[in-house]
Amino acid sequence: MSEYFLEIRGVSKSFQAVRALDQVDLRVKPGESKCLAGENGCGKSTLIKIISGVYTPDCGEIVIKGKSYTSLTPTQSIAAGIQVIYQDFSLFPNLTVAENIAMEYNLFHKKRTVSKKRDRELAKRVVDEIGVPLDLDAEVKSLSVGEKQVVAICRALLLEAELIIMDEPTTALTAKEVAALYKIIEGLKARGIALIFVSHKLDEVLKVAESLCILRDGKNVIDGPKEDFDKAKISYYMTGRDVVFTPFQPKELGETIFQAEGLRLAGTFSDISFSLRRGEVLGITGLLGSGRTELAEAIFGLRPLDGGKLTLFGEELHLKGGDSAVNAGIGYLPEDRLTQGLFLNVEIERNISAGIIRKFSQNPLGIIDKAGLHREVAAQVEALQIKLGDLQDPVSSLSGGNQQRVVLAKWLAIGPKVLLLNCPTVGVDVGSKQNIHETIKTLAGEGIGMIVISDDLPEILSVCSRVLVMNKGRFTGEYGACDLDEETLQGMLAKA
Amino acid sequence: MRKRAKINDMTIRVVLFLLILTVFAIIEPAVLSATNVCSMINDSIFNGIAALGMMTVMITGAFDLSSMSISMLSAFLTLKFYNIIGYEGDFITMFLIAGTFGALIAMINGFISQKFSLSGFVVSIGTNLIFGSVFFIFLRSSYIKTDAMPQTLLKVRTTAILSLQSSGGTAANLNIGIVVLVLTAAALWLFLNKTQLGRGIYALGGDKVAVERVGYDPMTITLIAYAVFGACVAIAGIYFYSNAGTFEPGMIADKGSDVIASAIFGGCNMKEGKGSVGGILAGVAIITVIKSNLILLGVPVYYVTFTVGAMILLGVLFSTLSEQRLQRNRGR
Repeated sequence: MSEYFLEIRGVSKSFQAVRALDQVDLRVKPGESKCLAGENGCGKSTLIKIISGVYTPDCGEIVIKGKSYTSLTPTQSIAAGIQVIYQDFSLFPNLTVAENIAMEYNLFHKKRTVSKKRDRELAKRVVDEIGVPLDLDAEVKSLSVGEKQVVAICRALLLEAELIIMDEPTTALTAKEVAALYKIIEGLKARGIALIFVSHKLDEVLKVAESLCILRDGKNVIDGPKEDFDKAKISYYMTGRDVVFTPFQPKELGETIFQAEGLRLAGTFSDISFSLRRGEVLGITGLLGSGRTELAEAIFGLRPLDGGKLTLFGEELHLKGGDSAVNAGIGYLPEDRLTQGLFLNVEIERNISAGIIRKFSQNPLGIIDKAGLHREVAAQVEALQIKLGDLQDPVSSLSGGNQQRVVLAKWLAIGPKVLLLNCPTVGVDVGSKQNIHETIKTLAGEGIGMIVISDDLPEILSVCSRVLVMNKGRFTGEYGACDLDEETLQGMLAKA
Repeated sequence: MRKRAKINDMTIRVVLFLLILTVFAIIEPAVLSATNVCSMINDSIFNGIAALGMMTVMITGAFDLSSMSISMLSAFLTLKFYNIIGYEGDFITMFLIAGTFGALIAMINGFISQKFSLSGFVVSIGTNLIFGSVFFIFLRSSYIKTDAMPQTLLKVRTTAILSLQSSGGTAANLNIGIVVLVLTAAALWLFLNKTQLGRGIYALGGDKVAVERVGYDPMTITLIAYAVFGACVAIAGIYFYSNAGTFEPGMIADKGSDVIASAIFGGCNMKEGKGSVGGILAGVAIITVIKSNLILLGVPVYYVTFTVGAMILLGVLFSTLSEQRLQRNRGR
């Protein structure tokens, strides 16, 4: 028997004319944890789907524990001990923890009847093994994201998984939950279970992964132990070019654009004061639950403030709802662009023009000046270098990075004086991330007041010139970006 | 916490039922007479069986508007079938045959919505009109007179499992139909709670993508859920027309809103894959006790309709509010 649990040899897969995978190799030993990395569209998901039996490869070989297959069916894959934990966990919110854990096991073993008692016993066994307390009778709906992930891991273990593939395992977790996950993963590795992580958040995944396999444009780029890599190298292999995140130094600071004094929202934050000057990018960072998102929404007028004063160019603002903020010249990129920032199934052009339709329909009949609108949209697309096929394609056809740029374009079109960006690069790959950062810096240089709210510390450090740390609804520190490094900032955040 | 919330929901329904009953009993003591109690139970049979079927589809996250058309068409086909083979019918095969017809017809809705990823509700708007008219186009006559009905079926009207002679001389009869309701409820409870396929119906209502990933076939589950739904409304339909003693298509049409009201008041929630046999029975009890007694008290029919409408809204609000309470508890 070979030393590898799974060996992928020279697997290729094409969809119509597009070659998604080209002679790809991948090897995992029992107990090994490997990170599969690459930009969006590099073939990661296709490879995972081939391993889990969803896709049939065009050529190549899949060897599991020394046994060779040309392709797998989902059932074969599960029987061989391969389990995929998708980013959404694929759980049933309306069923109990015990039933969620036992359901796939029951189905796989072709059980026709169900017994709550048996489900509980099965679930209890794996939950005890993992050593995380879970209420087996709770409905999954009532669990936190981290707990849901544990349920998904338990379900995989019950099926005697020998290889667990986790898609973006840390994306939705809080720092505490990530730490708990690391502990679970160590336990799994000690039992000889192999793990493959597919992730954007390389910093987090690299803490647990021993080796790294990078794909680019459907081809293997490099595979090796993590000691061989540093951040710059990884970015280079993923994008094929040098990606440098340089700290931002504003050329010169102008007059004060925007000022907040003593902002207060009962139960969320209080005593928040800051000012934003022309040319700088202000960063606000804090852990999940520190009140950072609420603060952004309050500044944008979505949450009525209980106290405090906002001034824009010396004039006091009285905001009621996002509409009045837009009219005052404040733009807001929400954290969750997919549900709050975009109409996914609607054409790109209409998405970008959503904020400026009024400007182009200023005539008594309210008729929209379509040509003018189109020129404006085209100019924004050009300026932001959005890669798209046709302006009439739906936004959902774009990659994450380009979708984010569409949201940016929408806001830039209204000509904002202040732009609030909440976690601007969540779910965006390294290359696009750098582009978006450059855009933010350029816009700041053009005189738009930029406020970036994020918990992605490298991002804060590379894009902001000044950083405010928020903790439990208060600002606990203010630093110039040049005086900071990631570890210090991490320390500030963790300090209660 | 979850357990407490669940008990609460069910307890609230039982308390509400007793409260409503008490109020009616205070206004009119005859509400609690043996005659009226039996009559209320008899009134709940059709609604109960049909609501159980409606629940099964609602758990999967769909909603079907064509329940009464399916009910009527399957009853009609069953009666015609007996006519053609010249058989007077019996209490067992009438439900089996009608149930089979209903299951097959409803599966058309399920198949179309699953195959083409359409909302079951939209599909049923179309099929509702088709099922309600298709057969009569070919047969012209859509009316079956009492003497043309299979004669054994008419005995449903007079067959009681319990007969009490009250002092006033009026008889209180508990109709045989209650046995059908109890058996349907028991069978459905077993299916939904004790079989892997039954759990699949809940799973489908929980997450449509995940259901496939754990190894269910979504098409199979959809078809089964619709088959159960169709069988239930058809069984209710053949019972209704046998009891009525004559077949007229329109007789059943306005019963649909009671069925929906019962299902919603019984805790069915399309968005979250919720619904239980016990909840439905409680919902049916509440709707029946209100409706039957308003009629007994001689309240004009529009007020009754008004009340059922208000009950549907209350039912929806009730489930939403208890959900919000749960969320708040979690956030704490």
